[in-house]
Amino acid sequence: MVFKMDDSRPIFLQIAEHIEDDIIEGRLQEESQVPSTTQFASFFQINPATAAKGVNLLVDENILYKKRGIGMFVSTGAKARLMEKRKESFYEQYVVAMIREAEKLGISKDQLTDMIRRGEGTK
Amino acid sequence: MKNIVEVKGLTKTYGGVNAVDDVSFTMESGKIYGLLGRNGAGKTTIMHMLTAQMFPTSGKVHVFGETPYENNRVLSQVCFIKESQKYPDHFRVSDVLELCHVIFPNWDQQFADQLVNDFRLPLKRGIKKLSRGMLSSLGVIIGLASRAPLTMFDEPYLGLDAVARELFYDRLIEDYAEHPRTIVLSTHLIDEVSRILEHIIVIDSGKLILNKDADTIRGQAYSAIGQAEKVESFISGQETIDRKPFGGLLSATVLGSLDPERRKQAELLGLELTPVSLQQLIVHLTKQKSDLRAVDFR
Amino acid sequence: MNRIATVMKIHAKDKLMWLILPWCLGLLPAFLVNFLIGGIVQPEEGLYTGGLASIFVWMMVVGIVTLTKSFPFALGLSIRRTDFFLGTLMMIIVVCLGSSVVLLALSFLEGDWAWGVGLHFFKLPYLSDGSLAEQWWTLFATAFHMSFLGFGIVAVYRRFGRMGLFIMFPVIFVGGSVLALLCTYFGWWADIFNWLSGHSAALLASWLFVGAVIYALLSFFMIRKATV
Repeated sequence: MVFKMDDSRPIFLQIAEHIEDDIIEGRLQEESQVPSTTQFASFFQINPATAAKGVNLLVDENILYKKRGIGMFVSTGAKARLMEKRKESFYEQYVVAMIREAEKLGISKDQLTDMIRRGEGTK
Repeated sequence: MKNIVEVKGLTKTYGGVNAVDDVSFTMESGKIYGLLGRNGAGKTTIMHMLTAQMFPTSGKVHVFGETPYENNRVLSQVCFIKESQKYPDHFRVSDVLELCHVIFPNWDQQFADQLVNDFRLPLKRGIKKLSRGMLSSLGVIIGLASRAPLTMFDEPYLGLDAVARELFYDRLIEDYAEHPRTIVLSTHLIDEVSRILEHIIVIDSGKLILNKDADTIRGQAYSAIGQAEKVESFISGQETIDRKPFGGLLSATVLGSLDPERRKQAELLGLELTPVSLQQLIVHLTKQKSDLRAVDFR
Repeated sequence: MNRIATVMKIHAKDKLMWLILPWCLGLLPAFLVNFLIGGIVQPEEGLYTGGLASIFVWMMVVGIVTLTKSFPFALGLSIRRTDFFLGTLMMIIVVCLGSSVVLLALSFLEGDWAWGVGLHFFKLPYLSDGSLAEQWWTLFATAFHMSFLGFGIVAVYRRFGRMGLFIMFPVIFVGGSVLALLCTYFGWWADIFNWLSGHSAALLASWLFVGAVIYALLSFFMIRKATV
């Protein structure tokens, strides 16, 4: 198994996040077909109902849409909307946390911006 | 969804001891259930009563809406694979599989053949000469190929190596996706199966202590680690299920979800918060000797 | 699929126990040993043996083993107790029918020829008296009785556990002893032997059959309440 599910968070959320990542990083193109819930289930060795719950979460958010009898597809504009959503949480999740940690370690704002610039060069 | 199992106030007493103590739950069709708990918690006894192989001291058992006792309408739809299954002395693997073909109405011979191949089970070998792992494989094959609307596996992994266990999970998920049915996995090894389970029932010392959707339980407990008195103040008024002191520090596990409010509070106190996995949570819940009570999640 | 037929299939899979062991491990060696003795000793009066009893003892073993091993197997695979009982009853009848017919044929074959060594194994005085039908009935009823004797003993175990047997055997033993004492005291023995010898084997077999039916009924009710 390549991916390991985190057993301390709801698995359907992790499935949804995984699909979101695939869309944002271009592994899943807009208007392309998403693997079926059965494929997700056997790939991650999870309950098919849980996989379906994760996929349906994205259908509710219009990231995916259902073509009757064929399967799930990525909606047009899904990537842009996801990136917008991620940007919001990026601030909460990374920026705020980074500033807190910097404060703890006595890193000044200038030093922090310096670090960010330095980090830009590396990949 | 239809309830295919209804258990109410189920109690089984052996020589004055309640092996199963006032247990009530329902199971819906088409779900995978985990019946979890430590060895000797009463899981096997419950399943024996669901299949009328044992009789309740008191309480009600309904399977597919009827009492299972001497009831072919119920029993023909149930396959119970147990570790202690007995076989006639001289039977070979092939004998047992041929009989299962006759016994289970939904038996899929092709699937059974494929599984025998996958698990490398020697068809011509006598049951008595099978290793523990091979015996478990045979059970797994019967359980899967029977396609019974209610299939229960009691400790199916005994003696199975990692490869065989993976194979079991793979085949189970694939086949379940194609042929949805109610599956009960009873085990004390929680970590491997938890992600397959949709719903979890935890039995401890004969009592039902948890009956919840698996994903609801995930993220419903967390541990706080830090200076003892600060942790104490943080967890006061919370339902604490585990505490582990070390030096001047304390690690406490509490039930409840982590809202931003609590996070902020923990941060101010300088506490480290870690989420608790499903397995850890169940270990904590079944570790307590006394003060057993049903856990109520919000 | 009819569940009773399913139970019979379970039994039919166990040919070793139902067929091979009683005949090849029970009757055949008993016959061969006696045949050898007959060949070596060549008794003038002919050699009469009780070797035939071995097949009946094996029928009892079959009754014991089927309820010990096949019953938990079947119950574990979602088969009803009632169906197990009826399927086993059918199987026992079939096997007893088959065995009794074969034994009758062997008795016929033995006739006065006695296998050329004066061995009287299948055709015995008293037991093989009467018409062909009576001879068959004696063999059938005895086999049937022995099967359900074994079955009934294990039924007590299945229903009441080890304690059931611990209580049943002393009760039978003590009851039997008391009865024997009473017989001696009141001098009933002579009457009993007179009664026994006054009746044909076939009639006594009928009494065995009645006993078997009683065992079977009792077993049925015990099995209905048996657990694994």
